[in-house]
Amino acid sequence: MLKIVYPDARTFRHIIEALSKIVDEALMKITSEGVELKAMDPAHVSLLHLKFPPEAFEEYSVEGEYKIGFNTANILKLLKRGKKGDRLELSVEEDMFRIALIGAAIRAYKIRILDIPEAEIPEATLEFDVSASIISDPLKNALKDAEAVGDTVEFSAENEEELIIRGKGGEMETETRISRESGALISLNVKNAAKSEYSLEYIKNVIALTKVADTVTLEFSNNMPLKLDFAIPGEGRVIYLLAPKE
Amino acid sequence: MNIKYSLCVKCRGGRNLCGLTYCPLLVEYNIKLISKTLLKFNREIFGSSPPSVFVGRIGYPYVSIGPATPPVVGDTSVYDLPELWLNYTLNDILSYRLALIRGKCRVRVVDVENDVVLKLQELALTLKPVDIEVYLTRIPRPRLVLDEHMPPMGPSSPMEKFKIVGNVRGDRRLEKVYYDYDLKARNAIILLYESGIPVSAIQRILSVGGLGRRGYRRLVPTRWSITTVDSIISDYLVSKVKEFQVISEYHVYVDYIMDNLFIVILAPRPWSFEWMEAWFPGSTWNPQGLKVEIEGDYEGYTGRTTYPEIGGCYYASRLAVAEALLRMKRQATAILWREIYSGFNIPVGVWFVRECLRRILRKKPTKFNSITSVLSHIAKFTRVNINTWIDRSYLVKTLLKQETISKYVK
Repeated sequence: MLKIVYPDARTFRHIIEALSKIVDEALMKITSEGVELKAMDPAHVSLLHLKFPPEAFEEYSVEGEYKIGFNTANILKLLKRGKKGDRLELSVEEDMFRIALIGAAIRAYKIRILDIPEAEIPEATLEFDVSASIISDPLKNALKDAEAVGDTVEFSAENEEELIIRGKGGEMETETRISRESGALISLNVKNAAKSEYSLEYIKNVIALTKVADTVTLEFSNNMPLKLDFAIPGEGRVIYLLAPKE
Repeated sequence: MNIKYSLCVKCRGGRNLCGLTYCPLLVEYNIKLISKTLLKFNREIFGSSPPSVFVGRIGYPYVSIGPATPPVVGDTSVYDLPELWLNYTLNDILSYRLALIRGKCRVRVVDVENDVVLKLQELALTLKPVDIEVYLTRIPRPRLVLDEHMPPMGPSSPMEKFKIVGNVRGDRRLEKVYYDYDLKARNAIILLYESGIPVSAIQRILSVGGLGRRGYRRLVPTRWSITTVDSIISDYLVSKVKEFQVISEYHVYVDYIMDNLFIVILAPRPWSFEWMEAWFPGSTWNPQGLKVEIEGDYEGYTGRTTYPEIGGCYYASRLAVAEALLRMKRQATAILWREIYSGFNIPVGVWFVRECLRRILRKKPTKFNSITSVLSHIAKFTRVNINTWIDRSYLVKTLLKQETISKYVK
């Protein structure tokens, strides 16, 4: 038995939008402990990890364990039909996966569950030198600015006052400073000053997530992966891990 | 007048980026060749068409169309079959093409049931030469049209009419899709390719409005149809290639063909593709420049959403590499570089890129374990400094610099 209701279909849509840019097919695990999904892009450069505890849902009745394989582009197409304020109901009927958008009317879609082998995607336990919690909107703009000038983004923090995001290209550079004064920085912990570069080609895949999370926790160290932790309103979390550029 | 030659590399005589209404480079080539080859033509041409048809792009949606034939009878297939041309010298190819005399008349692109169009479709349905008679309104002056996308074209003149004299034996596979009015052009192209029809023949039938659903058929300018077919077939092949496993080592192919250096790197990563060209001073699109002009474009795993800046050769090369990967039953990141030296100073068409790469990719690759050893191997061949190549190549920079996440999580 599986029936879960998520209060905001649009949030889910934005998450799937980010996911669809990373993988073609994904496997969602639904147990009584919550909903979980892990995906690694084909080049093994980035990792997306979704975690939604039962509390994130309006209704959550799950018995047993469900593994639902799906094509991300197909599901996204359906979720795009959702309107503002629609709720999302997920259930399983035999080998079909049922998605219902509940608004003024109930619109249901059924998709055959794909048989996707469960990939061994390891858990990341990394320690970072810098950990910053910021409002997501300035991050979105910094990344879009960086995209306008080049293909690389650099995160750096020298002290606990300010976080600097630089976009780098061959001929141009852009810089965004996020500090407590500007109001966008919620907290910043710096064990050691750190600076690290990442490919925009990958990081731009998750820009869509800034629409659903008000705040983002951002962690990195010198030449170490970048970890973005998007806190979704009402408990859920989306964690994005990206390997550095040398 | 000062022309920025970096513009010429992007424009290739097609977009008039330099601001002139004609391309000074192309005109110069024409004049040179006219003075060399004074041929005498008649107003009535009788010959075996290879078969060859042409659809112009100027004036779209009113385009100039017509058949072409050399004034000789016999097996003329080689006059219009780029798949064979690598076995000949450039001079041979140009003299074949110069002998192809082309009749023209103007037709609206939607007018696919026009008399002339129907006869052209009949020609495009066969793979064997057909005897035709073309009545021209004036004696054509000998000249040669050169274009980056199309094979070279010979002299042309408006025509009064043309007749198919010989028997046309249509190819069964071409006829099947031609008479199928419910088959989309895309699917028809893939079907023809799978059944072994040469790419150039698919381009021919598409350009005379012989493919697509009823009501959707159009005349397609030859130049556009070449890129269309390359792009549709390579998209299809790439989607199949993505199902295979990634190769385990770096494969490198290096070869010189007619003053061109081709380099292919297949890297053990999921599908991505890059095509870059370095035009040396004195080569076709960089005749008076002082430095090498490098242009190119790339795509990631999910492909492109915009047209590549470098143009149709991007898709011609993509087709060749996708074919090779399909034969290997493997996927890889393909990085393709081409250096064009000063001796190669006439545009011959994208068939050259496609056929050269097809040939090179049938050879045995040299194998390496790391991108750094690949680059030091390649540096022995390139005349452009390897660091300049690396600097311009997005995919090589990614291979050199981008770490994988698997290294950090256990």
